[in-house]
Amino acid sequence: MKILIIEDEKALSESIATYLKSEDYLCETAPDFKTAISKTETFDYDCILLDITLPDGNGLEILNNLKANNKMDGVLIISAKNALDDRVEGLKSGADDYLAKPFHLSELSARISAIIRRKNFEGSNIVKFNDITIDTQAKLVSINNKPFDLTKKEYELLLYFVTNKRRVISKNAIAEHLWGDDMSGNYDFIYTHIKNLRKKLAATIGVDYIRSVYGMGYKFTDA
Amino acid sequence: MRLLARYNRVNIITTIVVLILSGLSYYFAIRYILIGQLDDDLKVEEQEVIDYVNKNKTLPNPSSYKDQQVAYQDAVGAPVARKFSSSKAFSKEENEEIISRQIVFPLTIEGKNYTVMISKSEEATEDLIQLILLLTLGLVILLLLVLFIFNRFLLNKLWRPFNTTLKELKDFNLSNNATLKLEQTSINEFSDLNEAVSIMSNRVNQDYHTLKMFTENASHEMQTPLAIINSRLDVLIQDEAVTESQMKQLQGIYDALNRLSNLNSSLLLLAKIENNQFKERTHIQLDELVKKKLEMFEELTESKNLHIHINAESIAIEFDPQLTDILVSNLLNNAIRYTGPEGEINISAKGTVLTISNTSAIPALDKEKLFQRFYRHGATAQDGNGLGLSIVKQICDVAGFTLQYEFANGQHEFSVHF
Repeated sequence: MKILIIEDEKALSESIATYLKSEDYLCETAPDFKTAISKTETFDYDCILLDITLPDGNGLEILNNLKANNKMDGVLIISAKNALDDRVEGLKSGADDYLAKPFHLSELSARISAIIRRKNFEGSNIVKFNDITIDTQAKLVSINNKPFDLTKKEYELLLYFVTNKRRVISKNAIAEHLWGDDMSGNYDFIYTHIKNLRKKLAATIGVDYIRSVYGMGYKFTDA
Repeated sequence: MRLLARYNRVNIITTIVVLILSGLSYYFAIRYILIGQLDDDLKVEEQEVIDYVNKNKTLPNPSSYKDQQVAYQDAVGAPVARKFSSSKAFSKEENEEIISRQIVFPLTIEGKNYTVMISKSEEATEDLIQLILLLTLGLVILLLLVLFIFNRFLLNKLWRPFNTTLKELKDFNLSNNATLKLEQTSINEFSDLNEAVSIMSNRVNQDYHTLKMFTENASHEMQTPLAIINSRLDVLIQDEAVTESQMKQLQGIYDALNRLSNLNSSLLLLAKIENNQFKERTHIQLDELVKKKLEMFEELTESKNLHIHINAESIAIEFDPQLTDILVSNLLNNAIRYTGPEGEINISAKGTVLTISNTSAIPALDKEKLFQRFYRHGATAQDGNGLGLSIVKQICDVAGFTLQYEFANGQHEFSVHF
C-alpha cells in the first residue's frame, strides 16, 4: 500500500510516516505544493494525506488536479483549520474524509484503512486478524466463520484495535474515537468496554490479544 | 436639561430683562422729551404774558381752558423764584386726577410784585407715553413668542444631524459589524463631529476585527504544533524500551495535551461563533436532539446513577445544526458533570423554552460571572476548561435566544428561550 503524505510540517509528516510504516504502508512525503503535484501526476497512491494549507499553494487544487486527471487515489484531508467550509469544500471536491489537527495517529491510521478498504476491495470490506474476521460493511464480526456477538461500542473498539494492530494506542485516543470530544478525558468507561471485549474474546478463542501497556494504553497483538 | 431648553431659558430671561430695561429707558427718554416740549410751550406762554405786560403795563386776563390755565397772585414778601413743576389736581369735569405741568414766575408791574402761574395739562403727553408703552409691550410679547417658536423649530431642525449621530452611536454594536449611517450636513461643527465619529468607529471596528482575527489565527496556528506533539507522543509510546515510570510521565503529557487541545478548540469555536461563521439554517427537532444526546451520555449518567426526568413537548427551531448540537451538548454535559451520584436531572421542553435543571452540592452560582470566560466556581476548579457556558451564552447571543440561570430548592436551572 502506497501512501503520500502532503504536509509542510516535517516533524508531523515524519511521525506519520514512522507510525504508518509499521502497518506495511509505503510512505512518501511531499513538503510543498510543487512536489505534491509532480508526485501525484507521476504515481498512483492508495491514499493521499493532504494538508490544505501549503506554503506555495492551496491543497484543494491538488484535489481538483487529481479529479481532472481521473485519478482514483483516496484522499484524506488533514487540516489545522477545522472550518466547516473547508470540510464541506474538501469533501465536495472529492476528498474521502477529513481529519482536523491535532489528531491521534491511531485515528489517522483507522481512517486511512477505511478509505483503502473502500477504494481497493470494492464491495468486500473485510478486515482480518488471525481468526477474527470483520465485515465493515455489515458491521459484523465472525471468529472461525462463527458469528461473534458484540455491542456497538465493543465492535468499534475491536475494529479500532485491529486497524492499529501491534501498536500501542493511548487511552486518550480510544476515548476520543469512541465518544468524540464530548467525553474525552474520561477513561472509566474504556475499562468497562475493554474488560467486556476481553471476556468475550477469551471465551471464544481462549487467547488474550489485548495487552495493557502500563496503564497508558493498550496494544492488540498476538506476539 | 436639554440644550434647547437651557438655551431658551437663558435667551428668554435675557430678552425680558433687556426689553424691560430698554422699555424703562424708553419711557424716561420719551417722558423727558415730551416734558421738555411742554416746558417750551409754557416758556412761550410766559413770554406772551411778559410781552403783554410790557406793552400794556397791566396783566392779561386770567384764563382757564381745558388744557391751559393762567392765574395771578399778589406776591407777599420776597418774589418767588422762577420754576417748573408737575402737580396733581382733581378735575371735576374729567372726574379724575389730572397731572399738569406748570411754570411759576415773578412779575413786577409798576413796582407791584405778582406771581404768575401758567399750567398745562400733561394728559395728552401721558396718553402718548401710555400708547407708546403699550405698543412696546405688545411688540415685546410678539417678539418673545416668535423667538420661542422659531427657536423650537429652527433649533430642532438644526440639531437633527447631531441627534441622528447620537442615535447611531447609541445603536452602535461592535459584534454586528455595522457601519454608522450619519446624516450629511452643511454645518461645520456637525460634519466635523460626524467625521471624527466615523473615523473613531472605523478604527474601533478595525481593531475589534483584528483582535477577533488574532484569536482565530492564534488558535489555528496552535493546532499544528499540538498535532506534532500528539503524533510524536503516539510514535514514542510504540517504543518497547519505554519504562513504566516513563509511561506515567507520558500519560501526564497526554492529559495536559488533551486539555490544551480542548481549550484551543473551544477558543477557536468562540471566535468562529463571534465571527458569524455558522450560517447554516435547518429545521431542527429539539426534543429529539435532546433525547439523542442523552443516549450518547448514557454511560456517564448510568455510572453516576443519575435520575433523569424528561418531559419534552415537540420544539422545532430553524438554526445552525452544529451550534444547536453544541448548545444542547454543553448544557447536558454541564448538568451531568456537576450532579452528584444519585442526583436528579430534570429536562423540560415546553412552547419555546428548553429547561435543564439539576441537583448539586454546589451553592447558587454568581449570575454576573457565570457566563464569563474561564469562570469556574471554587468547588469545581479542576473540572472543565471554563468555556462551556461561555460558548452556550455566545451561541444564544448570536441566535437571539435568551439564556437564563436560576437557583431554587437546591436545583441549578438553565433555560433557553428560543
